[in-house]
Amino acid sequence: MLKLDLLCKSFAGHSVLEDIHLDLRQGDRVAVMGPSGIGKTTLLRIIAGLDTRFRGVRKTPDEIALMFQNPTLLNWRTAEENLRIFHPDAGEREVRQALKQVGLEEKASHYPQQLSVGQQRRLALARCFLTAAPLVLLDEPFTSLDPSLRSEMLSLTREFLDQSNSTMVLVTHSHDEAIALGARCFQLFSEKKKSAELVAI
Amino acid sequence: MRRDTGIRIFSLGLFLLFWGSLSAFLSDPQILPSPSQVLMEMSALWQKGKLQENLIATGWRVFAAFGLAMIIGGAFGYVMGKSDELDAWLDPWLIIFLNLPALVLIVLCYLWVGLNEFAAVLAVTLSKVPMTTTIIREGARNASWELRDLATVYRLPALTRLRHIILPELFPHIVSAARTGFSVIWKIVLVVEFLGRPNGIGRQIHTQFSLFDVTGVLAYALSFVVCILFIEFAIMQPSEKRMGRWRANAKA
Ligand SMILES: Nc1ncnc2c1ncn2[C@@H]1O[C@H](COP(=O)(O)OP(=O)(O)OP(=O)(O)O)[C@@H](O)[C@H]1O
Ligand SMILES: [Mg+2]
Repeated sequence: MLKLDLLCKSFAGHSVLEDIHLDLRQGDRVAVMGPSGIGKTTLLRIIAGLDTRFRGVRKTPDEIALMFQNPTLLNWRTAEENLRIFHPDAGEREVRQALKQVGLEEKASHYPQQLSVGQQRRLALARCFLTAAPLVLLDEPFTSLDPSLRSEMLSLTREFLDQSNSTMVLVTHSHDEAIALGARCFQLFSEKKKSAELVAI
Repeated sequence: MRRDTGIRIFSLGLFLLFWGSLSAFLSDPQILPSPSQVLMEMSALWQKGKLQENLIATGWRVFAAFGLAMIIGGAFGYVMGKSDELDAWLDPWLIIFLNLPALVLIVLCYLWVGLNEFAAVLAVTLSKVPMTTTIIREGARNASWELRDLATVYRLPALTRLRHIILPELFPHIVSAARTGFSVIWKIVLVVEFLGRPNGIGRQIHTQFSLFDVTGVLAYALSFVVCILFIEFAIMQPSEKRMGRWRANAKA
């Protein structure tokens, strides 16, 4: 369902990613790891279709869900509206259900800045999984969380993934996260060349 | 009510008292009429219908130019804030227009387009667009690229983006552009009318000026200022508060 044959991605003539091949089936879960600045976010943006200036071929489903390290909410809309606006087709019940699942049913009419950081993160998670998109892209959503919130977020994510059977690509620095979500690990390496390659580990 | 409301009202009273005693001291209404004389002149003009007529003429020019400047400046500012390349292309133009005195624009518009309503509104609009563009561009530059990326990935329709992401994100900048815009525009409109329109407050001030009628000048000027203050307090400030609700709520 996701097929990427990335020959070369460069910024201003400087090659960042080369020869990266991904071929995932429905329900596959992979974690992409690698040191800072190697091109993980760049790879995810290419998969998401946000960056189309690369050489290669990309095939993905139309419907994609995405989540960043920051919750990235609409601060001027309530929690419920934050879900609705990004999922106009979702019904009343689905929105309620998603809020309930992340423990925010009582906060539906609160604005993001009235929520704790953990609640904002859970709202972002609910938005990501609301319509069970076939492909879910996560860019370090669990980094720099306190341990209890992190494990709570991880188990919620696992729950959502098990429910929806979505394909997941997770960018992370931690093997624990990959294991907690049952994902195969890939490492972005840059050897003698200055550009990165994907290696299964 | 604010605690210092009393002080403010008292201070306004002092101003009127100062004006009244200065005019009593000069005792020449040709130079400085008293507040009551100006008020009487205003009511006389109102009864003749001249005040309303000219206020409406000026008001429509202010709002036409204001609306156009906000829309055009907003659109330019947004695209320039989003695209570095467009910004590089348009920025020199922006700087030229930003530093072109309004008076020059007015004269040129009248010379090139003719002494008509279109030229008048065009001149005012053009003199305000660069300022709006600059302010909105700043807002667009600071806008979150992550939100934009999310909107793209979730394939939100353009209208949804505009309504729920772009406009709210730019809102503080839109407000500040509207504020400065409004306060600048109504002053420029008076000059435009002074130089080449058959009606409006600016034209009337021109007429009273040629008659050396200070009372008339003050009567027209003050009634216009009252209208502006009314708009400021009855429309601008409340809508600002209403739209900023989520901030107030967030603080509570
Ligand atoms: N818009 C851009 N223009 C120029 N260079 C860029 C751009 N975006 C990323 N880069 C470069 O591409 C490389 C990879 O960046 P990327 O953000 O993908 O790293 P990352 O692996 O996600 O790092 P981190 O773990 O710190 O998030 C970096 O060297 C960065 O400087
Ligand atoms: Mg990154």
